[in-house]
Amino acid sequence: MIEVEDLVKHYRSSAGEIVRAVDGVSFAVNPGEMVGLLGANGAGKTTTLRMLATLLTPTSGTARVGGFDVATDPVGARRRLGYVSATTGVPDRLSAREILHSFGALHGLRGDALEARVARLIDVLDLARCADRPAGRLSSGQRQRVSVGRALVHDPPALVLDEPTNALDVLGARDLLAFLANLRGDGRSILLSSHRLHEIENRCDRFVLIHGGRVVAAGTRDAFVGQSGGLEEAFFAAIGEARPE
Amino acid sequence: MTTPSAIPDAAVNTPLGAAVAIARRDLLEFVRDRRTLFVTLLLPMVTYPLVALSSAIGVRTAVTDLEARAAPTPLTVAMSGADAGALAARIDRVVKGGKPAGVGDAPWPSSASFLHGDPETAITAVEDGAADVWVDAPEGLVAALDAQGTVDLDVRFPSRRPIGRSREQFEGVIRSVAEAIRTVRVSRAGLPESVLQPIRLHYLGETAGSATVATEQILPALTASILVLLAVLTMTGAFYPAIDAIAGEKERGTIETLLMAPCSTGSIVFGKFLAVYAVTLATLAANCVSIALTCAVGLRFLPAGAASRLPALGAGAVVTVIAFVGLAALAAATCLAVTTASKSGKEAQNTLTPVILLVAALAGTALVPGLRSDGPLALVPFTGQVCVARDILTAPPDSGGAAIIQALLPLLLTLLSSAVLTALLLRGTAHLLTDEEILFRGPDAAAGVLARPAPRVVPTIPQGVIPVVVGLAALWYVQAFTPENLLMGIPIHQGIAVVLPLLAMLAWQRVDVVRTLGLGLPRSAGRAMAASLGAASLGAGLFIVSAGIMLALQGTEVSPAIRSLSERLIGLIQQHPWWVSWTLMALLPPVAEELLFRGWLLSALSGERPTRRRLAVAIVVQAALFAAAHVLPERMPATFSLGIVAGVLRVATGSILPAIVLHSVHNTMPLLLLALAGGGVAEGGMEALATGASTTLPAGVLPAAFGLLALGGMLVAAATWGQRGAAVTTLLFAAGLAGGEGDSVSAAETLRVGVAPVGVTLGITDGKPTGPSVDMWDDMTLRLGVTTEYIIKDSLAEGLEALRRGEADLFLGPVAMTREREAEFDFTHSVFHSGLRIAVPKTDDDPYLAPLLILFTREAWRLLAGLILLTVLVGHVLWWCERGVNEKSFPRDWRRGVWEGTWWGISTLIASGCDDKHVDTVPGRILATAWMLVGTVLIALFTGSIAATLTAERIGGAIHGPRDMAGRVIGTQATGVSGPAIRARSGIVMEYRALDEVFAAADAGEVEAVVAENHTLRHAISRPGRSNYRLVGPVFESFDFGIVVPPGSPLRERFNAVILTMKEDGAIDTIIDRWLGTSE
Repeated sequence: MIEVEDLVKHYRSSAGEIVRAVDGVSFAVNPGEMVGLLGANGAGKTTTLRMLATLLTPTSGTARVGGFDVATDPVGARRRLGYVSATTGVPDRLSAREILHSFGALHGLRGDALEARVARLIDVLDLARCADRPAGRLSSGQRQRVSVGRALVHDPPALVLDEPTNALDVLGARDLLAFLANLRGDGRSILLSSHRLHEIENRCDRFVLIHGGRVVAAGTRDAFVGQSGGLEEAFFAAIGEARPE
Repeated sequence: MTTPSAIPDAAVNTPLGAAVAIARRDLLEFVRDRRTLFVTLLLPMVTYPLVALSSAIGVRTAVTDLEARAAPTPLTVAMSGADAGALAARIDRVVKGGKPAGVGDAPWPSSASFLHGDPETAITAVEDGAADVWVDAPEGLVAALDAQGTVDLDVRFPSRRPIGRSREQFEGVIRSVAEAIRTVRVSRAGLPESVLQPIRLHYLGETAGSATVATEQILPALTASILVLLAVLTMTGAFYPAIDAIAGEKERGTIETLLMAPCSTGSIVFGKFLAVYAVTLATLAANCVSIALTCAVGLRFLPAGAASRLPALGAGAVVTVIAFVGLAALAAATCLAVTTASKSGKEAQNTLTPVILLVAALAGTALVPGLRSDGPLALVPFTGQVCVARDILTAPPDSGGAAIIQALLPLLLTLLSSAVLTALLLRGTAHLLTDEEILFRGPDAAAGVLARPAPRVVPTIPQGVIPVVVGLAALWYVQAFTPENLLMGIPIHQGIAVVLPLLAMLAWQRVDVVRTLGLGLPRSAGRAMAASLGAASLGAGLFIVSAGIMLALQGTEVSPAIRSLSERLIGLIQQHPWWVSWTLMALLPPVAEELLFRGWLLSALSGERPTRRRLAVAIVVQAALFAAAHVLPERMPATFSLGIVAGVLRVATGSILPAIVLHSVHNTMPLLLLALAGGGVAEGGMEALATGASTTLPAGVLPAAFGLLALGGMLVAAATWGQRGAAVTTLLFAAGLAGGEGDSVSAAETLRVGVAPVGVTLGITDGKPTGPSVDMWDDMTLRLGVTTEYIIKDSLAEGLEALRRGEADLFLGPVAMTREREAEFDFTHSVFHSGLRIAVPKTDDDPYLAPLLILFTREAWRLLAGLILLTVLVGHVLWWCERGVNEKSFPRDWRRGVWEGTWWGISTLIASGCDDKHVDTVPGRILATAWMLVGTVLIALFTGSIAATLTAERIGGAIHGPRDMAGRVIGTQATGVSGPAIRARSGIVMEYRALDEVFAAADAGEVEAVVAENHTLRHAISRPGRSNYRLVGPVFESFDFGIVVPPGSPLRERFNAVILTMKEDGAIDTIIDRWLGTSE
């Protein structure tokens, strides 16, 4: 369960002006739902997701993960959240298994429970063949899967992913998104942001469109698309850009 | 996938558990990094053996060198003259006899060879190096040797090449020859040989061989160097892991995963620290093992016997390792903190490298021989540990347990300081780690270091401190050019150290100026009034209380620095109108300093939304920096208190104005007190109090000061808190001072005391003697238990005559102790110490102002007028020549044309050419050429005359000190003391009966300067009508002054005992201060 209410983030740029990166964003992701966060570059998607991940402190407003407020109880929120971003990397010199092990230990898993969890993740993420190779020598798709595994090692009820398919090729992207969609079945809330509208068009239950730090449109695909042809047209229409002919 | 469930409570990690998990992961990564392994393990294994090898070679070379220096070499003597052969034979016999006993380490030739020839050949041989010395042995020399007299032997050593040891050798040989001759002569005279040798030395025990000496000289330095190396290498061991731990994670993109750990930032940082610390300890261990192995093997290479003198290394090694464990923690924390502040690995490396150099410098202080590790030095990071280790390792070998016990406390101190500093660094690192600016915003695109940073409400802490530090540093450089007098000195000082840095920071970092500097208008007029009045009252009281504190801390010693400052302040106040002094002392510095320290700095330290605790810390830190910026340690308590009170005022009222009022009133107090005192020497206490050089407080002043403080506090509290505050501040009344000396019972004995007017120490008023001498004598009579009958004379000479004739038992004086007087009378111990001083009529002799003033004489104006007229004329003529042909440069129209022509004339005259004009016609060019030549000559004349004036000023200028007295006419009193002193400095002396007459002569121009005793002179020129005199130069020809008694008088011993007591308890200084302002 992810809830965001009137979230605001301001900071001062080097020229001295106040930049309103996120200017009153509200939405929610229910258990078993996958929500797509859409927006142009600089719209405020990454900032919003970072605030949810407790990496940034909100200027005002609330964000809650699993009922825990990210500002007042970040540790509680972190326990219930898995976060993967496009720039997230993996330690080059450790193998996938070791990575999953260490993060599991970090979250308090021990002994047999830890081993079982790691084995399960390797299996589910299809990393069996490369589980013991140093992560620096894995392909980008495999590395991304290791990242996702790391985010899942503590079995969080919420997942936040910031453009997870950026570094992946078409096949890898499709597999990852399918995997994520499956996770919904366990009652997890998944919040996902992406540039590639066609990829997520048919995967997400709902969409939230952010522009200029504000939510300009939200709803299911059908509600979104309506009269316009596809998601992309709906996107442009919503942010007020005329489609170039 | 498993169903997500609530995380079982057992799986929640403890903070320490989380830290350990992070540390384990990091260590796993480190050990797979080949580079880290190399630096950590291999480098030390290689370094120390190399160091040991080179130092072993060094030790051996030193030993060989020492031994070589002691080895004998042959001596070649070139001889000429008829008796050369005979003398040579004697010398040869002595040399062959070997080095006699008792000559010690002086070199002795291994053999002697002789070249015979005429003088020129011999000298040439010496200069060419064929011989070491030339000896001339004319006929009859040897015969004279066998007789009774002294023979003058002419010898010559090389003048164009180094002599080396041949001279010592030759002299030693000749001494032996002389010794042999002496023995012969003595026995011929029938005396026993022992006549020549009253004492024979016997050396018992062993003397240290040269090898041991060399080792003892080299080993401590070697140990210290190794320790410094160890410290630096340990720091290097932390370098890569720290970079990898944070900056590396940022580059790999895993920093976010770290920050998402389900624990506090502190745990994360601690985990990182544990990993880096583990690697650093591994480095330390590798280094120590390597050192141990190297030493074990290296002992074999030391010269024989040296090894036995090495101190017991066991305990020393343990202490060293423990100290360095602390150092390793500090190194790890420091590297971690620096890398966390960096945005990338490269930036981390660039920032960390100077830090390592700094650490090397800190550790390198162990190489300084004198530093001892006990006391506060042990707390200094990196320096403390290395010094403690050095001290225990270089302790003398027999000191054993005592050295270890002595090292324990410093060791504990270093561990304590390491732990505290590490904790502080880790806290700072935790803040830096989550700093959004560092994490996400990346290096600023457009900018370099000097670009304007983003606007803020208040400055950052570094920005707050920078102007203070930069101002101080700038002041250091400017000191060379700052004039002595405070009239220029204070504005320059304030400008460079306070105003300019503050303005620069304000221009660079945009802040909310009103909020930062506290410039806001007060909330209500009533409160503002109350606050200001309170501040004024506080300022006055604080000044006096500070003087009291200084007294309590320093006793009656006034340091030279304070005294010099005090004298310059008095000079400033006396020589200028009051409003000038007031502006310089109580307007400019308070405003500037308050804006900088209580405005800029305090706001920076407090931050935007400070808690109470942070405010308190900020006020204290700001006051400490304020005190430190005033440089003189003696003034620091006073400045610190001022800083605290001003800081509290600023914070409590939110405005800088009360602080400025406080500071201003505080600085006005000296002026006030001096005005009250009337500037007279008799009230010297006030004067000294005013300028901070006092040694007593006038009675009753301290309670009054506390009263002022209480009043001020209440007013300010009322202004800020209302009635609650006023009630709170009524607890500031302290006790007054305890009373003075005890009285002693007077007894029967009466002494006849001769007195006469002596400078400022004794004067006769209404037939009664007064002055510091009298006060001192009064005290002495109490202590001696005698009563006084004064015998009053008119002059010193008469007084001494009375003593001679027995009319008086003593002459009070005190009188300068000169040799002539000592021959005739006896003096007691010195009660007064002073010297001579020079006073000159004031001239405007500022050498840089004078040439400028030349410009303002009438001749200069006339010259200038003539020049302008000539230029205008030339402009006219040229215009007339050029118009019509050269429209651009010289327009046809008369007014503009002449204007342009004149401009051309000026340009050409001074700059020998005019850029934007050209002269085209032939007559015009002829004129132009002539004008240029004229210009050259004129400018040369002008510059020359300035230079000449400067030179003349330098040569014939005013007298600046005793050295300038040569050839000058100096006036002085005929006391018999100053005259010889002046003549000794080649001055021409004119003596007068009284000091007033000397001044009259100076006024009339008969003498150029007045010389008299320092205090007398100072008093004299402080009188009205003498303000055009000033003291120059230092006190010279110091004299001691004592009381004169007849020779052999028993009173002398009694007086001496009392005088010593009075000196010890400061009674004499107190009296002198009271009368004369400062004691010598």
